[in-house]
Parts: sequence; C-alpha cells; structure tokens
Amino acid sequence: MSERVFGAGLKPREDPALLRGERQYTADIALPGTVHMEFLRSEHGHATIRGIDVTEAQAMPGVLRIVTGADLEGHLMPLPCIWVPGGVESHFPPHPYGLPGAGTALATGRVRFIGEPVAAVVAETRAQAADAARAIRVDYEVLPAVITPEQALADGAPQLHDAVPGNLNARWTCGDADGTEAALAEAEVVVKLDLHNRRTINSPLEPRAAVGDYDPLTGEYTLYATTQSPHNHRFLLSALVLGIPFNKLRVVAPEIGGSFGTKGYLYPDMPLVLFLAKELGRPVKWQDSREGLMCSTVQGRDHRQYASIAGTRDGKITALKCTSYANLGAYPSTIGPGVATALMGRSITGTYDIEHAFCEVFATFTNTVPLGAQRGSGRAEATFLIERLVDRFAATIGMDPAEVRRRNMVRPEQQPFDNRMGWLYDSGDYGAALERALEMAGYADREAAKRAARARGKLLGVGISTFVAVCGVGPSPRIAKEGMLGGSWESANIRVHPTGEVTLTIGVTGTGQSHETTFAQIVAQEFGVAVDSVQVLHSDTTKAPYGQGTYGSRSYSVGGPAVQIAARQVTDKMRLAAAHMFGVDDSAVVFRDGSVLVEGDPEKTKTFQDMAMALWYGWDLPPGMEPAIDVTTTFDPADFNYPYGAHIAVVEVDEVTGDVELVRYIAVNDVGPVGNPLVVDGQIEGSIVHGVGQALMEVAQYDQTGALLTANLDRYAIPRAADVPFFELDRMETPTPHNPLGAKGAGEAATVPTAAAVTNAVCDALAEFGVQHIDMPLTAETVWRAMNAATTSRSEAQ
Amino acid sequence: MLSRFDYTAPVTSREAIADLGLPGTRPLAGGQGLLTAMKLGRLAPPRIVDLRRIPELQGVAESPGGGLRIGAMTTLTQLADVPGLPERYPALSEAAGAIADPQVRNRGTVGGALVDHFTASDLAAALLVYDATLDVIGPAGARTVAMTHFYTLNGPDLATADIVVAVNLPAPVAGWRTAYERRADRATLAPLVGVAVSVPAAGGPARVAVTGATRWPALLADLPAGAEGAGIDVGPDSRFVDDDVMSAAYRAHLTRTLIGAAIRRAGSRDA
Ligand SMILES: Cc1cc2nc3c(=O)[nH]c(=O)nc-3n(C[C@H](O)[C@H](O)[C@H](O)COP(=O)(O)OP(=O)(O)OC[C@H]3O[C@@H](n4cnc5c(N)ncnc54)[C@H](O)[C@@H]3O)c2cc1C
Repeated sequence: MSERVFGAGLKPREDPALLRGERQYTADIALPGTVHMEFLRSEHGHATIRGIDVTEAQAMPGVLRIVTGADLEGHLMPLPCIWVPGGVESHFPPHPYGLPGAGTALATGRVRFIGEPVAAVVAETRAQAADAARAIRVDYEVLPAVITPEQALADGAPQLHDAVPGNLNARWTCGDADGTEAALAEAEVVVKLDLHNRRTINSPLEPRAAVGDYDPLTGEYTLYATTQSPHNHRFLLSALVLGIPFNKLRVVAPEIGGSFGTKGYLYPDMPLVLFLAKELGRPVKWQDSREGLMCSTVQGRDHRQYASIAGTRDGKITALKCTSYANLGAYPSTIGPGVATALMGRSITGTYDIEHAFCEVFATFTNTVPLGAQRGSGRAEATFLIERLVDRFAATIGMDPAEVRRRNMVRPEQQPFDNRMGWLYDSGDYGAALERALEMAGYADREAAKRAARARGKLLGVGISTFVAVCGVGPSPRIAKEGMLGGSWESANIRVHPTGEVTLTIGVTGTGQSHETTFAQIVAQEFGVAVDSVQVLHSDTTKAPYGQGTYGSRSYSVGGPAVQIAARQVTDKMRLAAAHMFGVDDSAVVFRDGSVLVEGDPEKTKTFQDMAMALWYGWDLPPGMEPAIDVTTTFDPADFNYPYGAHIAVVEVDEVTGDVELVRYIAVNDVGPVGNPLVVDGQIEGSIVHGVGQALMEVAQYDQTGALLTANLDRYAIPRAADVPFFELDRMETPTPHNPLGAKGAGEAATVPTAAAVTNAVCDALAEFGVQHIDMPLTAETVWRAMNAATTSRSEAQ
Repeated sequence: MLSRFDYTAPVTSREAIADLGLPGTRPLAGGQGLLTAMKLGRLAPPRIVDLRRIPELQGVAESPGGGLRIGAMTTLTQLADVPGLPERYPALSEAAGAIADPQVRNRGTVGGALVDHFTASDLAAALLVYDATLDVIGPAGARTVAMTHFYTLNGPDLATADIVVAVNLPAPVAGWRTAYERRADRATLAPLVGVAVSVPAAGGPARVAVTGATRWPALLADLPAGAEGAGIDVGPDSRFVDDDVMSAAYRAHLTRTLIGAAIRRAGSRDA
C-alpha cells in the first residue's frame, strides 16, 4: 500500500450512522426495568430553604423515591472542584476530603442559583417524575441576589458561602506588576479600554443525560453518561463523591452530541443516578431538556476587563495591564476557577512580544449558573482583549493595525518564546500567517472596497485578529503547578489479531470530532494496512486504557502520539520476530509499507498478516519475546502545544439600520501536521461559527433576581448556516517539538480569535463615526445606537 | 414533556365546537405553536381537538368576485404555492414564503399562523392591506370578521370554542401594488418588524400594515405619497413594543426603514 492514509481527507466513517440517528446516545439506553429521575430546580436566585414538603408528591402515581439534600448527607460527598489556581489565596466551600467543594448534589439549606437542583424524584415514567416534582412544596425565604462581580464584591453585599468572605474565590495575579506600572507611567502613549466579555451559553445539539445501574451480586455500579472524561469522572465519582472502590464503578460514554467543554464537568445527576439505582434496585435514567441545559450546564466567558496598553508613537508596544472581574457563578465548577484565572490571564499577551505585562483576576461568586468552559475558554477572552487593544493602540497612534502587529509579533527565531506570563510558545511563524491572511483578504485594496460598499449604503470594515492558544493539555508535572488535581497524559492500546485486523482502543472520548476515523488513519499509516481494517474503541472504562479526558484540544495532540508510539512498538516487535525467523540480525530487517523485509533479499519478506499470525501462534519467537500483539502505551507531552494563526473578518454595516453582515472570513491556521484535513477544517469552521455567534448575537441575560431571561433557544440566538459566508481557509503546518506527531490542538483554536476579528471589523467600519468600542453582541440595535451616540456627541461638541 | 390530555378528531365543525366546550381545550391545526407550547409546559390543555378532518377548513378556491377563499387548514407551503399568488397578491406571497423555515411552513397552517404568536404574524400584516376578512364559526353561530377588527389588546377576537374557518381575500384592486418587508428575530426567525404596503400606481397615500413591532398587527395611518426616511410617520414610539430583545425606539426606526423599502419595491413593480 503506497498512498498515504495519514493526511488524507477521508470522510469520517462514523458520520453516516450518526446522521441517520442510528448510533446510541445516553438517552437511547433503555435497560430493563429502568425508572426515571427528574429534578425540582430552584426558582430563586438566592434563598434559604426553610422546609421541603414532599407528602403530596410522594403519593402521586408511579412515584418510587424522592430525595432532598438532607437525605444525601453521609452518602454523597459534595462534588469536588479540581482546579485550584496555584500561588494565590483562594476560598472555596469545603469538601470533607480536604478538597475544595463545588456544591452538593442537591441544595442543602440554601439555593444559590435559579436552576439548582433541590430535590430528585424517581418514578416509573419520566412524566410521572416530572409531575411529582412539580407537586413538591418548598418553603423559601428569599434573599437578595448578586449577579455581577461588582455587586458581589461591594461592601455589604449579600454573602453566598460562609467559607468565602466577600464572595471572593481568589485574587489571582500573574506577570510583572512593578515593571508594568513603571512602563505605563513612562510610556509615550497609553490607551485604556474597558470591556465586558459577556456570559454565553453552550448549545450542543444533545443536552446532558445519565443512566445509573447497580448490580447487587457484584456490588458494581455502571454510569452511562454524556461525559467527555469517563476515566477522570470514574475517579472523582468513586473516590471523592460516592466513597466506593474505583474498581466498583464503570463509566461508559456512549455517543456524545457535542460538548464544547461542558461535558467534562461533574454534575449532580451523575452520582444521584448511581446512588438511587442502588437504593431502588433498578436502573435510573435522567435526561435533561434544553431549558434544563440552559439553566444548569456550565456557561462560558463572563469577564469584565479594565485594561491599558502602552507603547511608542512608532508602534512598539511596551506594556500591557489587565484587571479582570470574573464571574464564577454560584459554585466553583469542576475546573471553572482555573479557566477564569490562569487560562485567561496567562494568555493576554497574544502573539506579541510585550516586555512588561501584568494581569490580575478577581474571581467571584454570584447567583448565576456556574461558569466553566466554552470552546476556546480563557484564551478567547484574553485574545479578544489584546486584539481589541492593539486596534485601539493603532488607531490612537494613527498606524495601520496590520503594521502595529508586524512590529510586535513574536518572530520565528525567538521560538521557543517565553511570553513572560507562564506560557512557553513552541514553534511557528506568526508573521507569515498574518501576511498570508492579508494577501488572501486583499488587505492592500481595502479602501477601494470601502468606497464600493459605501455606494451601496454599506459601511465596510476589515478586522484582523491574530492568536496563539495554549492547547494539548499538557505535561502532568506542569498541570500540578497550575493547581489542577489530575494527570494529563494519554494512552492507547493496540491489539493485532491473528488475521491481521487491528483493534485500537484509545483513552480519549470523542464528542463528535471523528476520532474513529482520524485515529485509525494513524495506525493504518504506520502498519501499511487498509484503514477499514482498523477498528477503534473508546469511552468504556472497563475496556479502554486510561485516559484523562477530552478537553483543551488534547485528544489528537496528546492521544494521537500515544497511538503512534504504540503502533511503532508493534512494528518493532514484528521486525524483531521476523529477524529471528529469517535468521538475520535485526538491524537488517525493516518494516515498510505493510511488510517486514530484508533489503535486497526478496526471499526474506513477510506481510503484516503473516507476522500477526506468527506472533499469535508463537511457534518460533526470539528468546524472551512474548507471543501475541497487545501493546499499551502512555504519553505525557513535554509541554503544551500552541496552535496559532491570523484571521480577517470583512463586514458590511448597514448605515441606516446598523445590521452587520459578515461578508468574508479569512482564516490562516497552523495546528501542526494535519492527520485528516477534512476533519480539521470541520473543526475550524465550527470554531469560527462559534466565535461569530458570540460576536453578533449570543448573550446570557440575567435579571436582578438571577432569573435567566434567555432560558431557551427562542430567546438565546445562535448562528445559523446563513449567518456566515463560505470561509476562506489556509493552513500552515509547523510541527510542535512536544509530541512525535508534531500535532497541535485543532478543536477550539479557531474560536479564539474570531470574536475579536468580527468586532475589530465592525469598529473599523464605524471608525468614521468616532466609535471606539462596542461590547458584544453586536446586534443591529447596539450598532445603531453606537453610531447615533457617536454622531450626537460629535455634533454636540461642535 | 407533554402532560396528559384527551384527543378528538371530529369530522364536522359542529362536533368540533362541542368538543371545544371543555374549558381550556385548544383546537389543533399543524401543531407548530400548540405542541411546542405544550412540550415547554407553557400550555397544558385537558383536551385538544384536531381540525384536520373537517372538510370546510380545507383547500384554496377562487371566489365569485375574483378573490380567493383560503381554508384555515391550508398549510403555509400550500398557500405560497397557490398558482398566480405572486402576481395577484405579492405581499401575501412574500409574507407566506418568509415565515420561519420550510419545516414550520410545511405543517403550520393559515389559521394557526393568525392565532398563534399573533403579535408577530407575517400573514396578518399582508392580509390587513388586502382588506381580508375571516369566516369564524362557534357556539354563537357563523360570522365574518374584518382583519382590521380581528386583533385587540386581548388577542384575536375569538370566543371560547370559536374556530377560524377560512380567509376571504377580495379581488386585487386594479392599480395598487403591494410588497412585504420584514426583519426576523435571530432566535425565532419570526418578524420583529414586518410591514406590508399597498401603493396606488396613480399616486396618492399608501396603505401600510405592521406586525411584530406593535402590540398587535394593525394598519397605520395612510402614508402620504413621497414620504421618506424620518418623514415616514409611524406614530409615537410608545405604540411599539419595548422589551429586552429590542427597544421601542429601534422598532419604530426599523418600521420606518422597512416601509420605505417596501414602498420602493412595490413602486418598481408593473401595475
Ligand atoms: C420555530 C417557529 C418559528 C416561527 N416563525 C414565524 C414567522 O416567522 N412568522 C410567523 O408569522 N409565524 C411564525 N411562527 C408561528 C407559526 O406561524 C405558527 O406557529 C404556525 O403557523 C401555527 O400554525 P399551526 O397550524 O401549526 O397551529 P397550531 O400550532 O396547531 O395552533 C396554534 C394556535 O392556534 C390555534 N388554532 C389553530 N388553528 C385554528 C383555527 N382554525 N381556529 C382557531 N384557532 C386555531 C390553536 O388552538 C393554537 O392555540 C413560528 C413558529 C415556530 C414554531
């Protein structure tokens, strides 16, 4: 077999069945005797629970069990929070195992956000459980709520957690405070920008679900759930929440219909279905609804940032400072506190070489849904900040924003580059990506394009955003330093069957990104076998080798190398066995294109299948070699990897209505060598759409009581296909030195710069009105108001 | 999740009216609005009465005076596909084709589209400028209601157990040209502002109806010929809806803009 499988844009093998709805999702699992769980959720943003009366609900048809927070004490420990940002004093609700707690499975004593589970009802049918949940009477004493970090930190603010004085989880800092202050004080030009990167809601097609099962004969629990981290959740649930042996819990992640980070978190339903399955002796199933998802699945972004950038009149940036107020929501989600601090704060220098930078984050608790990841989490918020600031700086000194970027970007010869905030960028030519994007966009001709649009009543704007995003989490020792309680290596198991077919079992779990195809391609390439002969299994903790979960764009860039290393151990074993069979020294034998052979001796060659059989029989192996081919490897990368790129958005703003149309989108990305370009482009395109959504329409709105006003998709707009143009994509492929594939994260990188590119474009379009900044989402009315306000204030000034 | 309800599918409007007598009962047409509201727990009728088997609610027919009689159960797709509609009733054709998405139009009906989410009914604005009337039947007998009187602050003028049977569209008025313009809500795709205009080719004031932006679909005061931009008088901002999707001031601004666009487009058509 000579054509390259690796790098080919094969159509994902799993897609036809997924598209036809033939694959099994958690909600499709129907174990015999299943009963159904529904939550009663808090209807108050902040209230004391004075009493819960379940009498009426308990007597309703089909009801089997109702539990409240009090029933769980001593049975279910609080959910842990496992990212405690390092090096700062942080305050968390306590967990009895000495860990930070992230809230109990059901509210105890107090509710802290609307949507928080207060009671769980199990009944024969889902409808009976829902009816009974509605019949539970809760006596609440409503307390004043805090919705924003500013409110949370204000003197005399209502307090959410006894253990967290002033609602302040942590004041996290990073960088060179004194140097930055001094540089700001001395600078020729200082530009300030205050912005609100508002709360967003993740909208995977599939809301979350969980099925719990318990076998009294073996004492084993099984959880089927929408989890992108089955092994990790097995550990957290068994050891820290249920208090059962690790080997008594099996976690299975069936197909997952999108996640964008949300399904890597622990949620109350997971331990509850297990606990109740054991109590009731029947499988317990819980399925969320869209409304449920919107008020209980972790939400994203939500930073209020006050920033300054300093530089010289000839365009050299000398300092950057950011003070950010992050809204963690009511409880610290599994890894939320780290996302809001380190992941954001260390990333604020972007692709630029900035000598003095400093970031401080006040991470606060409020009466809103807990904060977690959204595709590009932390890095997108940081990139939005720096890319807006660079444009503001360019406008202030009257320089082309592309030129300012050129003058400040990290140069290839500076790699590996220490950004002075904790990241060591790995490889690549950031400037080349920018030049390529400018060329594709026809940037030099933009004034002509603006004039042509103007003739049609449209204000054309061009917005640039470059990015570099820490991905591929990560070297385990480094993760420890960041305060994350977990390893971050990956593993793979390869079995070559006697007939030469292959089963690859990976530790990572897909959420719709075609793992079964891409990982098979690595193996097929290494073995020189047909890609269809490689089966890929995953996501069942009793069958799969350990893995640390799918997040931080790590599946392919950390899990992929584990696969390649395992494959090479297999071919090496074949080579050694063949040398023995041929009676030659093993240095004479090579593995090439699916065969072991001795160069120049056509007699001495055996196929992959021959060797698979020979090792299966084990009749004639070198001394000490074990028969059969069953190899498991782990891989812990040397460091993170850093995909980067340059994006350009071209928008047309209607001068009468303020409507924004995204007319072109150019994206040059470097995610390292690409295993399957079709899959990677799919990830890039989806990522861009995500960013466009935040820029133009997505925002979670709360009222002062903590009610989510955008509580369903009829109020929370997400982009449709018609909202985006055909993307103009190009790729660079600079390997990272940190893994043998050279792969960098590709699943979320392209979300990171998008919102900034679109916002920069809109602000460019409106520059003639004197508009300096508009907070997202850039709805038509928001843009119209900005145009009017700028026009009015200018005419008043005259 | 649906709660428990009874279901009937009568074959005459008489039976339907009887079935609708149980308090809280809703008639079911294409289900796009009703079933969605039930699944979201916003409505929990004890019974739903399916209108699909009642013959007089079906079909589109030429009426004696040169107009059309559109049965209430006509789907929005069927309406948009009526031969000659774009030429005879351009604003209606444009409004019907713009509603939501093909899935909603394939199941949603004309009757449902006038009753469900009536505040943002595309059809309503178009029917208003054509002076359409509705045939309604109910416990009190049959009556005909002008579209201009159908909507009030309390919603559509339907008593308990009333059913919309058909829409009567008068023959197109010679020398008047019509057009429909809308701005969709990003989330629902329903009109935040929809305007239908009817412009006399001979010059003179235009008729203008608006939906979505005001509390209910209504005709505005006739617009003098030649009014443009800020000169388009849509009344005070206070008549426009003001909520956290959009302010009244911006709705009024969009209404003016869309009226201008619709008039330009209508005016450019062959009379
Ligand atoms: C996603 C979505 C997007 C939408 N976008 C738009 C849009 O862009 N523009 C727009 O105009 N509308 C829009 N709508 C509303 C849509 O037009 C209506 O939901 C649909 O046409 C209702 O028709 P139906 O036959 O499905 O009615 P049903 O859902 O069956 O009924 C809706 C309501 O009307 C009552 N009803 C139905 N028929 C009759 C009758 N003959 N007599 C008396 N009462 C009756 C029902 O009892 C119920 O209260 C949208 C709806 C959805 C779900």
